[in-house]
Amino acid sequence: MSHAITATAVTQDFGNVHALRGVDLEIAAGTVYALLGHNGAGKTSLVNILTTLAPPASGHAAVAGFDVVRNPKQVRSKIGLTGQFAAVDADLTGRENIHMIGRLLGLSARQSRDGAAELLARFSLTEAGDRRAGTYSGGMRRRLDLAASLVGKPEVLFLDEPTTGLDPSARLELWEVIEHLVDGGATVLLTTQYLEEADRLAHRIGVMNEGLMVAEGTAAELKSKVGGHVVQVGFATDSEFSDALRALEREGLAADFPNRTINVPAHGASDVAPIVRLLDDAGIGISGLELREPTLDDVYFALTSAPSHLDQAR
Amino acid sequence: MSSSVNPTSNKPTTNFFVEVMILVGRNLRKILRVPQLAFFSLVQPVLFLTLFSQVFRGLASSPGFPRGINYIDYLLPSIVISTVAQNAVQSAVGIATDLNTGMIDRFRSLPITRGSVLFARSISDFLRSGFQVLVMLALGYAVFGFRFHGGFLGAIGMVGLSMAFAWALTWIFLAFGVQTKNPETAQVAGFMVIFPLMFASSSYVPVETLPGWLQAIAQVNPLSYLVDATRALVLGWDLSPDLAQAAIAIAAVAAAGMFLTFRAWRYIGRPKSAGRAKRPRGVPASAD
Repeated sequence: MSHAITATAVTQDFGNVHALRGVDLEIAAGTVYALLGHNGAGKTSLVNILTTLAPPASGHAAVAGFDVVRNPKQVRSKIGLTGQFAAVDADLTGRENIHMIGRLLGLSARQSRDGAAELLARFSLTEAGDRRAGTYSGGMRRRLDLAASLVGKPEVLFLDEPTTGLDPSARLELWEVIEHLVDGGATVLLTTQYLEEADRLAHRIGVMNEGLMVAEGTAAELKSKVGGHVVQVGFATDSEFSDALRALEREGLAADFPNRTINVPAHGASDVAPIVRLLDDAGIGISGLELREPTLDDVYFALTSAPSHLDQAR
Repeated sequence: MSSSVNPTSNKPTTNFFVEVMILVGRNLRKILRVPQLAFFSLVQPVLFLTLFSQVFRGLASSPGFPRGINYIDYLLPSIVISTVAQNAVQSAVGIATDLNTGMIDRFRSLPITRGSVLFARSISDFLRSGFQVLVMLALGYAVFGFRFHGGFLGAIGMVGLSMAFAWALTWIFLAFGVQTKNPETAQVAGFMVIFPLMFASSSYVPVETLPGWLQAIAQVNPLSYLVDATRALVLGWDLSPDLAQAAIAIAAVAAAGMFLTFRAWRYIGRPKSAGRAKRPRGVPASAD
């Protein structure tokens, strides 16, 4: 299978900050790839290099078969970019925004107008299409931003934190839109801070931390590192908390501990009982107990600490 | 090869001229559509002409004032040049706003010619200045008794020089805007530069009456040369040194402005630039 995006040993520095410290990436054409990481992990720096907005300090990258440094214009003619801060013109209508981008991409006035009408309909913006984008809700602006990125029918689409700052219902709406992009066969690279988002939208996920790719795989592969679930145990007092921590660590259960809570990677509900029994046997009282889906933090923790020994503890 | 959203997609390319036209259209539409912008674009020249012409009216009775001249014919060129200069600050605000909202990143991710965004901005702001020049001339004619004394060519020359200067100045302020990437900073910085230059010039008093250090500024101030030349064109005076000097001033301003703008533009998005343009204020420029 050919690759829509490749990167080899890409680095980027901002003054003394090493934003990217040698990133390799291969994304198969026609797939959705999620870059998962916190603020400052280097996701946007990588996207900026792949979209020719910034040159890499070293290393090579190619998008749709063109080198981003040697052939930036060819790369730009193949990509669409939706940035973190919905880059639509608030003083233009939704239709005018899409039309303008279409014209700048070299579409004829008519092609561009037809494209705008089609995209507005596809993203449920037809009614709002002749209103100024400044009057749109956050979710509508993101949809318009996305629509404008699609008017040139890009081969590779970059979505930089497409749902950051959106409320849950707007996020769901946008997810549905993004899921349908893949049906069209485009290659999509999206960045996100939400494991749930990457899980739902992407075929493969790359986890970035401090300018490095720390893990890569399918959502299932990454989650299996965490155990698929997390048992979160809360404690009322500091002494109970530290006793519990010692007890769990003695049993080799990987755990992290923000705010007097301990998160234990688990496979499912069946893992709750052993943990409770273990703490009960040690005479430690708990103030809260929850079995939940893992978050990005849990994945980070699992990737940077010893593997889970819950199986032995059971 | 990777597939596209629509396999029938074809990718024609644009050219510089078409791109600039599209972007000028966008900028002008914004001016017309934002009521405040449209309103102030119209009110500013009216206000300036009315205020300045009345405040400095007494100039006509000062000893250094040329004899036999209507005060408004003497002052109007200064007011036009001052207004055009102030208006150029809006170029800084416009480009900084685009940088700040992420529009520039969007434009830069498109396969368009480098610089088309900047040229479009300079042209749309130049057109707005031109409109303001015409408003002031019309108002001067209708209300304040302003008349051209240099004939038709003088009138054309006066308008042409003012507009050319307006265009050249936009480049200086585009450099400001690209450098600061922040509309408010760009605006304040722009006025800090333009305000002293408005007065440390031959605009409102003869240069000889200024204190020595201001005279020194006035003598290198491009506004002085533009005021001298447009004034000579309006009054029908001898043009021999003024016109050439004004042309040189315009060329120098445009060249310096373009150099600074394109230099700053090259570093957008590059490492060691002052943070990413679209990052909202208050968010530290982290490496992400």
